[in-house]
Amino acid sequence: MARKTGENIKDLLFERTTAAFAFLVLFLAMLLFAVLLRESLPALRKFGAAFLVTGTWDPVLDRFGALPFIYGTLVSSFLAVLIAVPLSVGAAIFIDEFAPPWMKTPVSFLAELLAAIPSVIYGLWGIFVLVPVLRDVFMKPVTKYLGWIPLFKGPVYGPSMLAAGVLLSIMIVPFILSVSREVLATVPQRQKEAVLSLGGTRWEMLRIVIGQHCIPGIFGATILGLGRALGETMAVTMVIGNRPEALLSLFQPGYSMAAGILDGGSHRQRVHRGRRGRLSFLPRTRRAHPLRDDLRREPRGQVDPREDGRARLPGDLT
Amino acid sequence: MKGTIAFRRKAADRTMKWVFALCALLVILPLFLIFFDLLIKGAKELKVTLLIDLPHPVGEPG
Repeated sequence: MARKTGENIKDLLFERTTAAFAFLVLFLAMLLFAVLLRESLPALRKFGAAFLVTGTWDPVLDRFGALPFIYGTLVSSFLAVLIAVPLSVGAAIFIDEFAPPWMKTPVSFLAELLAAIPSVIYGLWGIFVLVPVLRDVFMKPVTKYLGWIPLFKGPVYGPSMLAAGVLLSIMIVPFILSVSREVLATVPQRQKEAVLSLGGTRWEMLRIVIGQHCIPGIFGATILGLGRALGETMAVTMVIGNRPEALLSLFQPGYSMAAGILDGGSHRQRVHRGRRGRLSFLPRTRRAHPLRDDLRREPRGQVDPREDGRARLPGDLT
Repeated sequence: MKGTIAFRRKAADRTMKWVFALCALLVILPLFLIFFDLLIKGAKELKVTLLIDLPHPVGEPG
């Protein structure tokens, strides 16, 4: 069937417009990557690929490696997924299959309400409740009896990789739960009934159905949760302990990349002093700094003549 | 023995039901913990002066 020319042009225009928007998204992603790469070039040039695998974070000697941050991010996120996935999938199954009808809506509503709590509130609760409880009830006894296992080595401080993992797991539960419920809902009712009608119990029905239908979907839910856990900043910063060391023990403080970006604090200042403000590990703060131009002019480690022999830090406004 | 296999299957079913229920409980428990913790700690500070007083200057007891 031949279309009218006018319609054809409209179609073509529409097609091109949507294609343009689709490519815009790709373009933005590439732009983001390019800007990140450009801004991190000074660090990469100075430290090379070793930046990714070095564990030292020594502002005094001017040596930096990102390993503790990468390690902390990965370990805390995987820990969170490890805890959250079984719990949320179990809860999703309970809500969909076992719960009495009056219980379904309230339980799923409450679980999804977890997503509405701001992360700074999670962090605060983590500091005041979760960390002390974990420390006294879990970490101290475990390190006392199982301290010979590297994962549980003391001393116990409280803020730790484990605390971050547990807190993150609470935060990602609602996401994994709701996606898992969607996945469970895609299973054809007939297949479930077929298993049941052959005399299978509900658990057998679930095993068959989940094995066949739901594993890819649950994997997708896991990736969604992992993505959120990797990027979580505020809550992690408040409970992970913020010590730039990559230690095997889950009871030791660590750091994460997002936490490092958030509170570079003293490291950041010294990084700038060391590199005369050229190491753009955290470009935004540097540019906003009133003493930026001073820093550029001031040779590294030079003593400020106005002061009493004390090397001046960028943060010192006095 | 008709009983043993059927019993085992039913027991597994019942156990898993409670395991899933426990999962659901553990999932919504933190919500209540956080909520009540905030409520208990915050309630006693919730006075009219909190809303109408200006913040104290730094260094002065609040």
